[in-house]
Amino acid sequence: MKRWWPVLSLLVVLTMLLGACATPAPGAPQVVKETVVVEKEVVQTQIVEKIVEREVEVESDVTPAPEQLSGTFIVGRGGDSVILDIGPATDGESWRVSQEVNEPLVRLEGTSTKPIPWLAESWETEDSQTWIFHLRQGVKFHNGNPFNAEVVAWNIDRWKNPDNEYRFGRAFEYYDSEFGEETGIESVEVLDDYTVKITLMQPSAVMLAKLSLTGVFGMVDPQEVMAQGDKYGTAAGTIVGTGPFKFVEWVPDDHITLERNDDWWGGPPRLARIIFRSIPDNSARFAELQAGTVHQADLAQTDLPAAAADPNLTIYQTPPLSTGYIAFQQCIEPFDKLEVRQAVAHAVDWAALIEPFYGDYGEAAQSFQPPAILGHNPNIKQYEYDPEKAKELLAAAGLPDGFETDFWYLPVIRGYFPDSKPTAEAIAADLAKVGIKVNLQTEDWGAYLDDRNNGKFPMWMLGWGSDNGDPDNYLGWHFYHPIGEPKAEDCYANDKVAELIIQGRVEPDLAKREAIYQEAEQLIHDDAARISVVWVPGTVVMRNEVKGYLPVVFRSWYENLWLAK
Amino acid sequence: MTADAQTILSPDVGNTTARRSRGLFRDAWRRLLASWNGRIGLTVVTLIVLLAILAPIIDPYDARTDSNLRMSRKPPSIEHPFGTDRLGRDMLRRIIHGTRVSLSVGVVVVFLSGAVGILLGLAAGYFGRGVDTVIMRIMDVLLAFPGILLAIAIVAVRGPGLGNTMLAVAIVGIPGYARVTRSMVLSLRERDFVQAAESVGVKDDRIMFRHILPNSLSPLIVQATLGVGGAILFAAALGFLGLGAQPPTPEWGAMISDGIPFLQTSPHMVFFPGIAIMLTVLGFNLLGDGLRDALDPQTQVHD
Repeated sequence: MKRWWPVLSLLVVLTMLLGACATPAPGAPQVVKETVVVEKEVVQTQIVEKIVEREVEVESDVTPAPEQLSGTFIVGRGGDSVILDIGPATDGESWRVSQEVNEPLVRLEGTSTKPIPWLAESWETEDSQTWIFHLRQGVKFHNGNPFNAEVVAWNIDRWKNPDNEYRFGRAFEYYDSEFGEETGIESVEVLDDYTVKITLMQPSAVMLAKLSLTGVFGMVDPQEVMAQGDKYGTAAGTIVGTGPFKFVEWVPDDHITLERNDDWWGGPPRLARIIFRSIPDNSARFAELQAGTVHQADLAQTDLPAAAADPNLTIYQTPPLSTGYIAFQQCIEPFDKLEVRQAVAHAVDWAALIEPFYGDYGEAAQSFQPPAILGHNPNIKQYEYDPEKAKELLAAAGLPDGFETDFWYLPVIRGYFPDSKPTAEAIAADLAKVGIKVNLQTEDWGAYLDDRNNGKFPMWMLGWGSDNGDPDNYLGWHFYHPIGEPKAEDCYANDKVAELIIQGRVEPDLAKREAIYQEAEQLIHDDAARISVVWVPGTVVMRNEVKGYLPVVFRSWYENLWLAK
Repeated sequence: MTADAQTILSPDVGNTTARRSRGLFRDAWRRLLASWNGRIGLTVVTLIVLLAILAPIIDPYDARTDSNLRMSRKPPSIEHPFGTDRLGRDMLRRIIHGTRVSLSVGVVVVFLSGAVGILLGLAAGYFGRGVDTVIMRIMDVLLAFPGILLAIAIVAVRGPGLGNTMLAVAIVGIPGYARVTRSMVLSLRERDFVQAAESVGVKDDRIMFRHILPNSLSPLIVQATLGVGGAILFAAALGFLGLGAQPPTPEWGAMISDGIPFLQTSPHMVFFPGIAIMLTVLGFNLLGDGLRDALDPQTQVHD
């Protein structure tokens, strides 16, 4: 009996030793930790410096040396374009090519989504229903044909008229979804060579943002479309526009080549050529970028850390156009009480979610609309993390001991919630600390969206990415409801917000429009109708020798790039 | 029935070690401590059970409120010897409290599947014929399913969660106990003491539970001990697939699954729960092996 006691004690000692081996010797882990932190800081600083450097370059317009004006810029992307006929294309890979060739009347400013003149030099409207556009003069298509009011009228008819004989059976899905049946273009009138009057079926200030969808509403040359017929925009034909780059060739599933338009109205671009190469394999594309055989590549999210560590690459973050949020069903207890929603807002350390779940690719949201969206209200700050205040608010709502509810998290990966289950766990833990017990729930994506629409979730996670940069597509999409008739989804009823959104849709003056949405955003924040968690930027990865880039939204900025070697 | 009659009707199987008859279990205990497997297994299991019992007393833990995002995924350090996980929770603390989860899964599962399996095995072996055929064919059907698939199907129908995991793993374990029990019953019911009991008119249930079952215990104890380890592993696998214990329960399988995306940068998130599972299962398996040797009447105590 006694014999096994020594063995047991030996074993205990051995176990402890094993534990000690598994844990690095005291002192050592701290050193390791320090190193990691330092490295990370260095990486971040580098990125920031580069961005600043380039912004300075753009601002002071550092001109490249003459020999640097003959660069061939190569883009590595996951797939080929589908169709380069700019109106019917519905995919990003088609847009990113054709938008360099065909230009719209209006574009977004770049780092913000404010509409700026492009092929239209200016515009005027009294009632947001009748719009008069004054076109840029002297602009020529690549084949020498002039750009004028007739061209605009011809293009618009092709978008909106299903019987137009030059549609070649192609659907103009984006025109249909953006302008729709009741909010579409009623008529187009040519007032003179460079003035065109567009009349809408209903007043709409959103019209400008819609027209600025740069991959969709570009102007094509009528003569060329008529001449080429249904070959236009396919690999068998060509495309012709007014843009900074001219179409050269399209070898399907291999590459598309564009070359500089020396006669571009904005001055000759600095790149001689752009080649869009299709490299379907993610790791092959990344390897080519690292090797320098492409200058820009679309990378898988999982390759970003490796790209950040590569000294030859720069990761640019484009301004966020997407928000991850928490929403409440406000017709049922307990979220019908403002104090309860505010308590949730104060109970969670929202900013702390960014580092673990987004790393360098997320920004703690302050308000619903990210800064690039018109009407973003810079005065709104996120509810501060204050569990004590949350408890007080719960007590004020008559729930001093908290409550229990279901909290639904996404069953899928989305940019705004790339890891929704552990994110939900973290939120649940913070809520439990003030007495709010949430049961984490999820279901199939389709059912999730349906049940959300039907108002079946008491509290849920979701997000939004802007389609066209317009606040009506952001704030308006979520908070508009007919006066006195809240949406089933969240049952949020604030008629003042609804009125503001209705005003915002027709206010033609940009400054006034901005103020309207800022006011609405403040009301929504005060009501704690949603809790905005994160703004997610886009990422663009380029080699360091690419100069002149500015991280902008919805565009590539290729006309400003040049290669340093 | 008197003690004497009991001795006559169910002779001590341990009798084969006739030198000093101290009863089956005392002999087995000696043999267990004499073997390396038994000693190590017993030590590990004892430590783990102590940990599970003492953890909530020494360090009360509420998984629902545990999080500190500012400490997310920190490597092992003095304050956090096993590092922290994604939510900044101390891994050591969660692994220790995870022993409670894993052990209760092991014990409950073995109890459930053992109880049902033994009853079915007794009935099948004792009554034979139709009863045997029906019960054992059902067991064969259960055995024909891959265990993990069956468990996933059960969890899919009943929903994920610790209770349903235990139920699923228990159902998967039933045929094992039924088969062992039945084979013991088949050999025991032909033995003289059973025949004698039958001949004096002892009722079926009494023969089954007082004469046959106690004499079948040895292999069942082995099966149960090995079963605890198997059940823990099985539950961890379900937890890893997200079908077992739901967050924030500190379940080892779920902890490994949380750590998998960070295998490169934070390997401690996978390593430590993995070690915990390995040690626990190893402990129970060694103990089971030791018990098998110890409870086998054919083996001698080498002392």
